[in-house]
Amino acid sequence: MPSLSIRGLTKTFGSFKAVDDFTLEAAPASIHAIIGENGAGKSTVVRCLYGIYRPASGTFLLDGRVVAIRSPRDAMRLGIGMVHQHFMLAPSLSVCENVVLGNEPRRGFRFDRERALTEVRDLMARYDMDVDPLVPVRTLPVGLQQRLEILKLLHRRADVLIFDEPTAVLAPAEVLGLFDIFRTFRDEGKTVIFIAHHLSEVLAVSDRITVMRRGRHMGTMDRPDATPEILTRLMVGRDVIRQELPPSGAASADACGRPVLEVRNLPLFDGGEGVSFDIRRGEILGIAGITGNGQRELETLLIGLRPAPAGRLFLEGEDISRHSVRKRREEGMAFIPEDRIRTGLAALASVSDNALAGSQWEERFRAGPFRKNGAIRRFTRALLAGNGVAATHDAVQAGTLSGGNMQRLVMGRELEHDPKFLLAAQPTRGVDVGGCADIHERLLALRAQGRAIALISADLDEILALSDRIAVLSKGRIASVLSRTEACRDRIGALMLS
Amino acid sequence: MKHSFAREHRDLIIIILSFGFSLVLGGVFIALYGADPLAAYASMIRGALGDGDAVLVTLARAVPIVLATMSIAVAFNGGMWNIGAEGQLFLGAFAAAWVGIDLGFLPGPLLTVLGLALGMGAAMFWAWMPARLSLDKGLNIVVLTIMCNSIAILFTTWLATGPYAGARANSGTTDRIAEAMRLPHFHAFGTLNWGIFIAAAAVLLVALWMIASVAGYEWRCCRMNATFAGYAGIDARSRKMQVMMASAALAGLAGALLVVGDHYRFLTTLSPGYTWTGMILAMMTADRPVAGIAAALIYAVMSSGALEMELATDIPTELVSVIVCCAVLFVTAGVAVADRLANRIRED
Amino acid sequence: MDLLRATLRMAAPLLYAALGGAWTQQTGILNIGQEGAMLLASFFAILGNYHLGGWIAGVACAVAASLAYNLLFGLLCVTLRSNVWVVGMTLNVLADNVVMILMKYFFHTKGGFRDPSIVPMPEVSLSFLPDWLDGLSIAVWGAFAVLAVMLWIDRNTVFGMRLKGAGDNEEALASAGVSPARMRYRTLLVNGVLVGIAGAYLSTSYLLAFVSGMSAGRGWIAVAAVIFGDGRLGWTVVGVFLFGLAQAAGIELQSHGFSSHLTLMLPYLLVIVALVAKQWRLPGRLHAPGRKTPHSGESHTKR
Repeated sequence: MPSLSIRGLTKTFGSFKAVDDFTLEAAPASIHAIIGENGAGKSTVVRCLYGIYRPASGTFLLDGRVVAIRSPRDAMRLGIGMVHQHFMLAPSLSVCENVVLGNEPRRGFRFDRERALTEVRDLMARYDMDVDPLVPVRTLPVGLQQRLEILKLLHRRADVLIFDEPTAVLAPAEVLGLFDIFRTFRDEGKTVIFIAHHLSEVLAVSDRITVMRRGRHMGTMDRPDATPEILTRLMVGRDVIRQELPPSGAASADACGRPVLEVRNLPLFDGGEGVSFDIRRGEILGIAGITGNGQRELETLLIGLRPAPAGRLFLEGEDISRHSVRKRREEGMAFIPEDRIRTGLAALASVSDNALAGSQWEERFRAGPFRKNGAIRRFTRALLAGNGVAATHDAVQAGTLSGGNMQRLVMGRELEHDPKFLLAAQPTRGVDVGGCADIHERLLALRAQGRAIALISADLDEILALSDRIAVLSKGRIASVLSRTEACRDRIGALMLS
Repeated sequence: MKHSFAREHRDLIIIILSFGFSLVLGGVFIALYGADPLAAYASMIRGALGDGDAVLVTLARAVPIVLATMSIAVAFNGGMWNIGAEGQLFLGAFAAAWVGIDLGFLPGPLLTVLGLALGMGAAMFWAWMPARLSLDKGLNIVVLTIMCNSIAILFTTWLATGPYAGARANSGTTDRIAEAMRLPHFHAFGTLNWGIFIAAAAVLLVALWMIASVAGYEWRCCRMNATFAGYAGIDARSRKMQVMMASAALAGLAGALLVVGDHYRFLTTLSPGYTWTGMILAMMTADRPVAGIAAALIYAVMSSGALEMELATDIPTELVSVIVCCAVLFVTAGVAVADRLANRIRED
Repeated sequence: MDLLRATLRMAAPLLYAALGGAWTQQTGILNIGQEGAMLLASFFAILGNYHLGGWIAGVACAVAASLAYNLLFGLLCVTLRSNVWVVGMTLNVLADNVVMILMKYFFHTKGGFRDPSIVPMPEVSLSFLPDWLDGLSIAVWGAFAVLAVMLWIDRNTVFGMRLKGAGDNEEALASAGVSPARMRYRTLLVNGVLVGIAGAYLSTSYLLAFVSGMSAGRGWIAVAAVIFGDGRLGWTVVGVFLFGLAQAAGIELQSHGFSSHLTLMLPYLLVIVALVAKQWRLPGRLHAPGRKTPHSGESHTKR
């Protein structure tokens, strides 16, 4: 079983340096964790290792031998396998077919189905997984699908197994099962590299820990030497203390009156029971939950992209359930969508076209039915400057901006409207450390001004840091709403699974 | 500012370069065919612009070509593919002819207006059904409109060789429309007529709308990213239907003008594939209506002179379309490559 | 029975094109250039047949032409990632015009070409065949043979399994080390060969001549059948036969006095009805299992 080394890895996207001279030494038969904030470059590193990205420079060594990895095929041939964040399974093929896909046992052109079944059953027996190999994959729950991904790697006799944020889609109990599997692999002599987001995970299972920040290698240590404080300081550069939220802009309860947003019995999934919640002035309601439990649907329904089949929505007392997106925006709602690139922006359109979105009917931007180009250009420049978006010119395509800049553009544009209510879905995903802090500050500033904010996030730390109240979403319904004092990780974790 | 010039005009540069390459490629084909490329091109220019008469003929040709290009371009602008423009053109033409034949007793100016209006209306109606099926039911609009094309062309052919057949049945021509309805020709030679002003007005209006209006901005957003458009408060469905209707109206107008202004009757051979050419020209110039109009005019010159080229050098007139097609392919590939080089959507 | 025979003759070229198209659809490309490919192939079949002698030469030339056409399509759309719709439509128009030019060059005419020296494709005449099946072109039987082979490949080979996976989730294949680009080229090649045979059948068996525009929308009907079948061979065949029947019925009705123009509309109307009916049967499932096809040419970069 080989040892793995990464030396001097650098990867740039255009002018943005995602990974800067990164080094990693992983010993055989060990569990090696890479940890860092959003945007630190962890995913990029492993993708270079797996051949998805081509680095600008760097060498990979397996057992001291330099190896060239130019595509996933090369990586697989060397015994490196990767379990991605988004599963790459073909839903209508059977479990067995999925596991052997790309590495099928064959007799000439024919697919040797019997041999495939035997091989898969053997693997399952060895690793104590109990799944019917003949059912189509789409019938399996998420946790089992991840096991399938692992089986795929084992079928190819991978010795180095990479896991890209595997716990993001698992409930806390399932995470423990995953860690057991890690230990089994280690005991067999394999090398496990996994990207972690939470300190608790890292401290629970790894042998060695590498910390990344801004694409750089900050430090590597053995598990016994690591403490949460040391790791946090390396990750963030300073100690993060959970702060008391400043007093909100809302005066005490008697001055509140009606909440800003009321949601009543809104079904997220077909035939599901509806969700109901309120958000008051000067309040951040954090909506926590494992991805895939209705967050996207809630986002779509709040924005108004899809008409709600049932249930009601009220904005400051007015029934807006049937209102179009445009009307909702005119009434003071703003939305930062989860998928910035595909929903929040039109990548092929210019930056100024993107900046105008949502405001195109405002008086200041048009003369009758025609656009006032001068006013639009001035507005765009002000927006870019005011939000620190680095774009060479307002006519460049929005897709050429870096992830962080795109995020700032979307956020800045939405906040321009001075909204009464803001929906922020995964606002810091894919943003670097400085940007995260910025965004959090802005959300808190809005809160101080008395706006109502719904914060949907899969990042429990973020939710815990910012929310006044926390609603836990599970299977399309709200399991419970906790106040700030009641909320702690364990309770929320348990609710996520209920 | 230098960067912006390159970026903003990147597409234009690609179009011009592609066109240049295609002309060179065309020259190669001409040589392979056995003629002298320079002589061929020269005779083409001569045939199109050589003398006053030729210019008139070229202009007459330009009218339906520019209308057809604009028709497809406006649809494209909103993200819709109006491949049914040919059928809409024929329906529009026949509708105008019907007005002139069956309602000939009405006063002249009324007839003209009615003819053109009904022509546009018929075309819009014919586009409405596939558009609705595509937008609401998710059906493939390209296949639907192609089918509608064939149906419309067969239908009008049947009308022109059956119930409305003119003096010479089976020739596919109807009777002439009422005198009072006709738009007078400019010259005894050729078919250039007053319709050119109507066409120009329509084209300019649509182009202006596309470039400068808020609606035009919303159309653009619908094309770039429909989800984004919805999120930005744009009613994507209604916008897409709008562009489809505008597109059909222009196609119908093209057909109606051919009847009311050029030929004074409906012919089954009315359109030598005007809208197909319009389509590929529009594809090449995507969301730049001004470039589209320019390309259409250049194409009109080329195809007008092609006949002379064939007479002089035996090169078939179809070469002009081949050159344009090659240009479109170069542009499409060029833009795709340029887009990929520029866009890097980072995932973390 | 006559109608059935006519249906088979009409369905044969559609079947070749649609089967090949179904496979390319699974890899994510709806090949709308089939019309142009078929026309090109028809012309080259006549060209090969006439100049090189014999029906095999004709078929070979036809296949070569449509292969080149599909390779160009592949180069532009798969390797260079251009917009499939633009390229497809442009290639159609290009093929139309190129054929006219070549007609003039080789045969000095632009309308049509027929010649007694053109060797037709052989017909299959076996004693045990009933009247209505007797004497059909070898290409008709070939179509069914191709169908059988393709069904077998789908079920039993690695390629077939990967194709099904590609239809489901292309990323799954890519991450398993199978190049989606390579799969696309492979299916385009198969499609090219099959469309070539279809075109050759048209001009050297169905009609012993080349007439300008002779593909007459068949390529588009094949595309419609592919959409109807949603990448599944079974339903594609159903679509092909429905449309073939409509074509045959149209011609049959002509002999009963209906105007040819109206009866020729039948297959096109049926396509629209079939596509609508298919969508109605799947309410809310805008994109049934299999590759989804864009219904309007949104210009977003395909990755």
